[in-house]
Formats: sequence, structure tokens, C-alpha cells
Amino acid sequence: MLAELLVPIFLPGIAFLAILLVLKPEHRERWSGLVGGGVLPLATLVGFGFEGAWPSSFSDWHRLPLILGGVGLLSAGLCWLPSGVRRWFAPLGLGALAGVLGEFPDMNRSDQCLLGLSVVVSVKWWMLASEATLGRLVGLGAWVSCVALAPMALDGGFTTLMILSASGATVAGALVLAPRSLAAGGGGSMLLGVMIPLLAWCGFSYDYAEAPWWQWAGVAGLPVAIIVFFDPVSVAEGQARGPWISGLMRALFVVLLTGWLLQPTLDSLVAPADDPYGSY
Amino acid sequence: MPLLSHVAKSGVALGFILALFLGFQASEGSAPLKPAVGWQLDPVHSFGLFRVQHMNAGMFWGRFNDVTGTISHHEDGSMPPQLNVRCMVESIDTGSEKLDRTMLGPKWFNGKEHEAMTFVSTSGEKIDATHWTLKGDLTIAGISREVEVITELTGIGGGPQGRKIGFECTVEINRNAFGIRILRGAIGDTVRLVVGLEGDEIKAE
Repeated sequence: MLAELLVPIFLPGIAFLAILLVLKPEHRERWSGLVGGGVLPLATLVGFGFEGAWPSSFSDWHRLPLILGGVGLLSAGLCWLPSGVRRWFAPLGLGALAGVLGEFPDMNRSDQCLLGLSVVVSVKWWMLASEATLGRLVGLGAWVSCVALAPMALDGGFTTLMILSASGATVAGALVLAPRSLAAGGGGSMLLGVMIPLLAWCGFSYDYAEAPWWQWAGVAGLPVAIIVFFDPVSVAEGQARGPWISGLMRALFVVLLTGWLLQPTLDSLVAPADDPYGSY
Repeated sequence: MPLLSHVAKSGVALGFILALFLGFQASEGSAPLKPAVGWQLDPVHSFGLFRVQHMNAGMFWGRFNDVTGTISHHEDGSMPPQLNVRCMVESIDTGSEKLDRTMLGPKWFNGKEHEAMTFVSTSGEKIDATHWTLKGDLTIAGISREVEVITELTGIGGGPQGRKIGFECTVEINRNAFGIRILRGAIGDTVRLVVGLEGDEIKAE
């Protein structure tokens, strides 16, 4: 049963990292979106295979890996556009794709518009963040977000989304580990910009733990917290405090923020085990 | 003359007997069937139970608390009862809130996309005075399959508030046929469903 969990989480991420490392660094920006877009569909397929549980009918959540696969393809095309055009065309195009196809349970047209809008804002943010000189912190922000979404999905009764969120964390991890794969406005940043809000919207739609919308939005918005690292506090001349203290305090802030957002979920998950299935 | 009178009397008697017999036959053949009575399921006293093997060991029981629908039944037992039962999956009660949430998830009952399980009987065969094998369409998680349900009439009674009828239905299904394929090996394939139904007579306006 452990293999059913670990293989879909890690195998696609490891494959993604291997492909990124094989690519020349200057090509990673262009192809990271396309290759990464295949990771969650692959994780889904591997999960089905390991469970021996191929779906006999289409379910709304199947749209999630399908949209991400589509985003991968679209991002590869968008990367050929001039950066000035891509800067606006990519958020709008990807937002439209997610908004039109992202039809999860209990969602009406206005919810889909909101989903599309959140993807537009998110992609724009990721493209700006990847242009800023934050280095690998950008990918780490995505990693924190995906890791935090996984227990929320589990608590809500959606174990498959937990696996997909954890797979998303391996995607972010691979983008961190392979230099230049999150280069300014590249495919990797487009992919993260769609993947994180989409995971959160899907989880919110299927959630039986009834976590409030702001908790899902807050966890999806956690990468924004990396802006605290952006403008380092200037150390007064002659002051003994080293820059590492400043970095540590900011990291502590992000950890505390994440802990605060996840507290209701963690409280629920660590409640006395009364699960007769042993579940996952 | 006496002979003629005797023959005439015998003829009248024979005719009378014949007429009685024919009349009886005619009344038996054309008597209208007692019409089916409609019953509205009482959600408080109706429920669904499911039983499945866990880890190849114990039999785990869970319950669905919200069962509604209608029954149509000929009280003379001349026709099989007709059941139309709807069971809301969000009323699942396993005794564990966490497990309830898991089982409502998309790979189990998928409560967000398919809010109810339904059974609509289409035909039936009498076993004895109180038992039938009902054929019908069972829909779980959006997938319909024809199943045979052993149905027992547990009683017709009631009180001051009106008449009540009770049925108990049992069926064994393979969950894979309904697309619930998760954790095969850990959770048994065969699921027994036992549904207790109690209906209140629908009185004509």
C-alpha cells in the first residue's frame, strides 16, 4: 500500500528532474513547462496502474491533470513568443484555459470565471517572481504551497489530490534543483502559476472537511510570502548582526504563517485515530 | 307425465348447477385485482447497511441514514412489490468522521458528483408468500447495473397515525462493477447491502 502512495508521488518528479538535467541549461526555460506539465498526468496514470483501478467513467477531477497537460503544451508554444507579448498573453491564455475547462463540483460559471482570474493573477505573479532576483526561493515557495495542500486534501477525504499535491511538490523541487529551469517568464513559472491555484480549487470543490475558502486561498498564496526575502533589511554599519539572522527570521515568519494556515487541518489530522480502515 | 316431470325437474336442477358453476368461473376470471397500494418511505425508520471485508479479516459494517422513496405493493401478493429507493451518500455513517470523509471522496462514493444511490425495481419473481427476487437497476457513483435483490415483506401494521409496511432487501454486489476500485486487496470486492424499508400508506386525496 505504501508503494501506491510513494511511486506516483516520486517517480514522475524524479523523471522530470532527470529530463531537466539532461537538457542544456539554456533550453530548460523553454521546455520545463512542457515536461513538467506531463508530470501530474503521469502521476495520475501511475496511481491508477498501481491501484489497478482504472476509472470506468469520467470524473470532474480528471480535468486537473488534463488541464496541466494542456498547460504544458501551451507553455511550450508561448515560450516562442517575444517576451513583451508573452508577458501578457501567457497569463490571459492560461487563465482562459483553466477557467473554461476547470469545472469542478459545485462550481457555476462565476466560480469558473474566478478560477480563471486567479490563474491569470497567479501566472502573472510567477512570471514576475521568476524575473526577480530571488533565485531558488521562487521554486521553494511553490514547494511549500504544494506540501501544505497535501494534508488539506487528505483531511478533506480526497486522497488522490493529496498524491497529486505531493507530486506537484516534486515538480517544484525539480525546478529548484535544475538550475535555470525557472528562468524569467519561462515554461516552469507558467506551469507553477496554473498548477497551484488549480490544485487548491479542486481541493476546495471536493472538500468534506469544510475548510474555509480563505484557508485554501491562503495556502495557494503562500508563495507570495517569499517577497519577505526580496528586499533584505539593510544592516546598519558596524552592527554585529549577520545577514543570516535576517534570513532566519524571515524563514521563521514563513514557517509560522504556514503553521497558522494549516493549524485547523493538522488539529483534525492528529485527532485520536478512529479510522477503522487504517486508510492511507 | 311423471317421467316428463322428472326429466324436466332434473333438467332445471342440472341447469341451475351448471349456471352456478359457470357463474362462479366467470366471477373468478374477471374479478378485478386488488389495486396496488402506494407507500412513502419513512426516512426515520428506513436505512441502508453495507458490509465489506477489511484487510482479508473482519467484516466492516457502515450505514446510510437518509433513505427515501416509494413502494407500490399488491397486498394479496399477486404481483411483486415495486421499489423506488433513493439513498443519499452524504448520510454515510461508519462511526468514524474521518472515514466518512474518505468514503465520500471521488474514488469511493464520490458524493460531490453523485449525491445519491438509487434502486428502481423493474420485475420480480415470487419465492414464497413474503419473499421475492426483484430485478432492477442499482446506481452507485453514477454507474447503473442490473441486480437481483432478495426482498422480504417483514410486515404490514401501523397505529393511530396510519398503516405501515416493512421490507428488508438484501443484495451482494461487486464494487468494481460500480467503478469503486480503490484499495483492491485491502478492501474486499464483494459488498453486501441490506436495506431496511418502512413506508407509510399514501392515502388517496
